[in-house]
Amino acid sequence: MTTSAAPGRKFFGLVSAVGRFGFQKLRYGRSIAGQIGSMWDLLRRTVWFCVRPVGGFRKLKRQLFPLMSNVGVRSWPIVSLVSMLIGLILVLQTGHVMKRYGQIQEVPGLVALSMCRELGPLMTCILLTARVGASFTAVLGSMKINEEVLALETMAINPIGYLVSPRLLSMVFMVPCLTVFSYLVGLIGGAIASYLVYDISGAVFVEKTVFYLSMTDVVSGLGKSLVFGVLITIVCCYYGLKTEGGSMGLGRNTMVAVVTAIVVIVAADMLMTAFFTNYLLPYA
Amino acid sequence: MTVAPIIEVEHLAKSFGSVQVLSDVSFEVEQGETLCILGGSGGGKSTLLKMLIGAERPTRGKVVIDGQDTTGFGERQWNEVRGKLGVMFQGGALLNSMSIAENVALPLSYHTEHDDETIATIVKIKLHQVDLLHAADRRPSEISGGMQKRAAIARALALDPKILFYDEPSSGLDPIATSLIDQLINRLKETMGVTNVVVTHVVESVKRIADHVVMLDRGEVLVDGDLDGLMESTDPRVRQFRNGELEGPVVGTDKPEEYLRDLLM
Repeated sequence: MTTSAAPGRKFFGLVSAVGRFGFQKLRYGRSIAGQIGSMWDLLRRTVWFCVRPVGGFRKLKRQLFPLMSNVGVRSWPIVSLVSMLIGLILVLQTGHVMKRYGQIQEVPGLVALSMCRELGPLMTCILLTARVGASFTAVLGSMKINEEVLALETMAINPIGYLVSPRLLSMVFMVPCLTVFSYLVGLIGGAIASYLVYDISGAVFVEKTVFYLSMTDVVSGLGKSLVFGVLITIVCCYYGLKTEGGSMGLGRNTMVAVVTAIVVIVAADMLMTAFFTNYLLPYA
Repeated sequence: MTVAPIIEVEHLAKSFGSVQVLSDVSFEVEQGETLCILGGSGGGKSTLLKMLIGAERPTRGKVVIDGQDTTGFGERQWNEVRGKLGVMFQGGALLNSMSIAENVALPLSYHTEHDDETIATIVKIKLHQVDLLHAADRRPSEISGGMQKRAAIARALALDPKILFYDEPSSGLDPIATSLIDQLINRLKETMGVTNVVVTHVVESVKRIADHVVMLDRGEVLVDGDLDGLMESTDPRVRQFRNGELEGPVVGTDKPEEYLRDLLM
């Protein structure tokens, strides 16, 4: 009896384990769907408070300048350094392959296209996620834990309008500016490496860059950076406002916010690249 | 002619999932009195306060504030009610990025049409009321816990509210600072006619400030009356809390043998 019952027990055990696993994944999926819904709601309300600011446009302007300074002015050194290095790396990585095919003069075009279409916006926004997005989560999370967010609510000052909308606007204004800056510094880095390693003069570098680069490349990169800026703000502010559980919760949410924001902007980049390469760039 | 109570709480209940925090709480607060909501940790005081200021929705029952039944109120309607309320949170909840004066000016700049000079004058008056004029330009992190609480009271007073809520005003303070806060609460009631609702677990403070006491334990009202009602109650839970006895029916005071059993289980 026991030998015939064992396979049955094993079978039901397996079915039950598969069922449990399925339910766990379903619950996880439902939780992710719920979070996406909440982030969408946060975006909707944030945009509403950008158009109808809490306390009027004068107060919004007062809040905006320090935030823009933090997002833009204080981020440019790190964006410059990384963009310069990316420009150098691009020349070094592509140069030796292109040289093998006798196409070394095409390296500036490769660098220009890579920087403007992809690496400029992406690297700038990954850096901003780490530098600015993490600080958004940490500041808002700490305010949530210290009941400052609740205090704003009881003073009838909407926390989304007061805390998130100015942050979104500062990102929307400053991220494209930093991206343009990243293009320029990346190209300068590429030009330096091209001259030092492959003896390509500055004039040739500029000529080839102008030849290969169209306005559509520049604008598509700026469009991407704008979308990334919005995504970083919403993801990071969402996790900040959701913080609970003291310092452990704050640390966990800051980590989750940064990781989620990077994954989300890379996924959005993939979707936008597919869109631009299929619909926009062929006609450029 | 009888004056309607400024706060009416009727059959209020609150659950978080399967955990019942408040079961059936009812009381009234008269205009210009100081109500102390008293009870041990986990008794439901903070949840009750959150429902009174609209930060939590009750599962059942209703809260009427200044004649307005807040049941089913949305954010906009609550914001209108909140114009009549001021709240001092346990840790002060001052915005750390601003000076004390800027914190007090915040509700004024968002809810009044006053120019900057008028707001600055009102801020000075409010800070003077809590004896903090000298610390106006300091940041919250640069002042003591007692001063932070007084600054939070000044901010709560900014819009001249009818009702002031205090969440554990004496927590983390030394006895002198606690007395100073109690004195301030009494002064505000006498000079401005403010109705005070104080959530606390300090019996000494209650003796100094309370006109009306509501004591909660495990989500139910044990005492609803004046100070004598609390001091003369023969309910074993009230007596244990009042006298700070280690053994008794109040939650969290296991007998040594029960503690040992829990450890060994």
